Amino acid sequence: MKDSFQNHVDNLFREMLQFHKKEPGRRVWENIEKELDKENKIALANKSKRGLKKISGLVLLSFFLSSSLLYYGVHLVLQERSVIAVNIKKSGTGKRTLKPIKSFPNGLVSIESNHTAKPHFIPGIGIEITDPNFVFLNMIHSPVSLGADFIPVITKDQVFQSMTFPVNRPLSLHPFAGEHIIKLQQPKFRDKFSITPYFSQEFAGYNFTDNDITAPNGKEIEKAERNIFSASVGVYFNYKINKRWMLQTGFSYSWSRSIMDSSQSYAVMNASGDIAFKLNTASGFSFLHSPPFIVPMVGDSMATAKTHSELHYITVPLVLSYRIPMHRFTLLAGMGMTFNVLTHATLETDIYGANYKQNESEIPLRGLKKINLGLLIKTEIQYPLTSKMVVSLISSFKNTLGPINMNSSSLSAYPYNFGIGAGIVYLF
Amino acid sequence: MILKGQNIGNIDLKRLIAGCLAKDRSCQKEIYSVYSPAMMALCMRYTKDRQEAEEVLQDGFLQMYRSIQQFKNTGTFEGWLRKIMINCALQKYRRKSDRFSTVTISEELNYLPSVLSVLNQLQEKELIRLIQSLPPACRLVFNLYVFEGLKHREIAQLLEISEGTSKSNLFDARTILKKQIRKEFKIAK
Repeated sequence: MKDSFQNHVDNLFREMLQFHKKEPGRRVWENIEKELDKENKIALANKSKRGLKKISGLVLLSFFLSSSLLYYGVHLVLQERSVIAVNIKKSGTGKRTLKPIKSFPNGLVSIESNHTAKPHFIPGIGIEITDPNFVFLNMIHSPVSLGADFIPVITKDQVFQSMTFPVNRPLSLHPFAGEHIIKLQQPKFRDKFSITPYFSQEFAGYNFTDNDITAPNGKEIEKAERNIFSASVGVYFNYKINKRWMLQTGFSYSWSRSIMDSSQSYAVMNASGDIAFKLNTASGFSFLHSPPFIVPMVGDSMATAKTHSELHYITVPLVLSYRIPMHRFTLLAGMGMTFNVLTHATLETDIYGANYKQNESEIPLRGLKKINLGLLIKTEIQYPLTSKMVVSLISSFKNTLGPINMNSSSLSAYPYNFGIGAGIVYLF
Repeated sequence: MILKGQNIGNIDLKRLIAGCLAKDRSCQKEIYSVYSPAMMALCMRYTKDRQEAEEVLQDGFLQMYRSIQQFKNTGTFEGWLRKIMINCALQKYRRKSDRFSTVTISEELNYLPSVLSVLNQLQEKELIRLIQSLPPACRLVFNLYVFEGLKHREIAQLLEISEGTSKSNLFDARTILKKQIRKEFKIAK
């Protein structure tokens, strides 16, 4: 009975409702019509987009073909290294990050859309993503310089063609890039060499050791004498060994002027057997001219006024530096040696007695080594100004490795100085 | 022009389908006029009220217009449209969190002749209302089993439930229907 009831219920519902019809409300069709209109509009817009994409594709293709040929011509004429640099500008931030390139095994390069690669750069075609949906392609026809952190400095006048295409399209829009247009040549001097003319103000001092206990000791001289001006001007020749290491050499001319308080000079017999007043300074000694009408005897003394001394050196540095890119800046930390050649050492003072005063100028300083070696520790903070010019703030510490005095001197002086300067790095 | 709810021949149907493919609004409206009453009745059975039925109907027709190029002449157009409507109804219930809530019915069935006699006298409208009064899960299973002729295995697959649940839902649907009839028509146990 149970089954028959179920069948009866099922059959009844089926028979009664199988072909049952019910009129829907009028608004159902109205809603459907609205939706269909909306969809038609979207479809039309999509169709237009597709049409535009096709046209853009054709324009893009013709652009690439023409620009590729143009670039190839420029490339041949200028004999430059090809460049592919992807420069991404995040919308709103204004920051630009250099993005990747890919080298093919045969030495050709192609653009890839992988943004995970480390910032890298090869100097001709830059791609700049200025909008999340579009890639902006710049073609650059002149050398692109390395900035402080390996980002090429690209100026407007270097861009000779540019265009935009959707970022989600595979970057295979340069179909002949690998074959005909972008060929990496062996790097020339570019990126490897640079020069840095610089000027540095220095703050100098001396460390002393006494060799003769009968002579004025170092402490006394240190108290009496102080450096009043020291500076260097020179040029560094920079050679980039690799991405991180740099070898720097060059030359510089440095001069140092010191002043010594009034002191006594004593008459001694010099090497040639003459008796003369000897004036000791931190950096050497001088024999002063005797005042008129005075024949000095050994042990006589004479007062001197304030004494100015000057030392001039030509220095050849050799420094190994490590490059640390920090955003737009690059920090160089280096250590090396200096070969210092003494070119000029004089002093100037006034001698005076009870009834006379005499000026002594350009008196040669004696007892100094002609050549000495020094230690150089320096740092540079570089910031790119243009594609070829980088400004550099230089700080340095120099200390001679041995005394600047000859062994016979009663005093050994080890000069040191801290320098702060600025230079302009010119990239070849 | 085909009248509302009228049966149409193959030639007319092909013309209407071609028109719908070309997004011809008059053809779209004609095909709606022909099939909407039957589909509305179907939607009424699968939903709890008229408003919901119209929503399903609207979704179903839009779905049909969007995918009409997928219709192959292997079956009837109406059969294809029914499947679309049922799918839309199923989607609507899948979106609801309590889509397959179970109903506990402890009452033992008593198949009294009086219930059967009342059922025989009911009109279509009342039958639809009875179906609409079922819980969603029961209503779906009842519709699929009774009207679409699906087996419990097929229903279970379609609704992603077990075969046992499908059987249980059908049993519950029948029990609830009986209770409703007894309650509404004041039939004694």
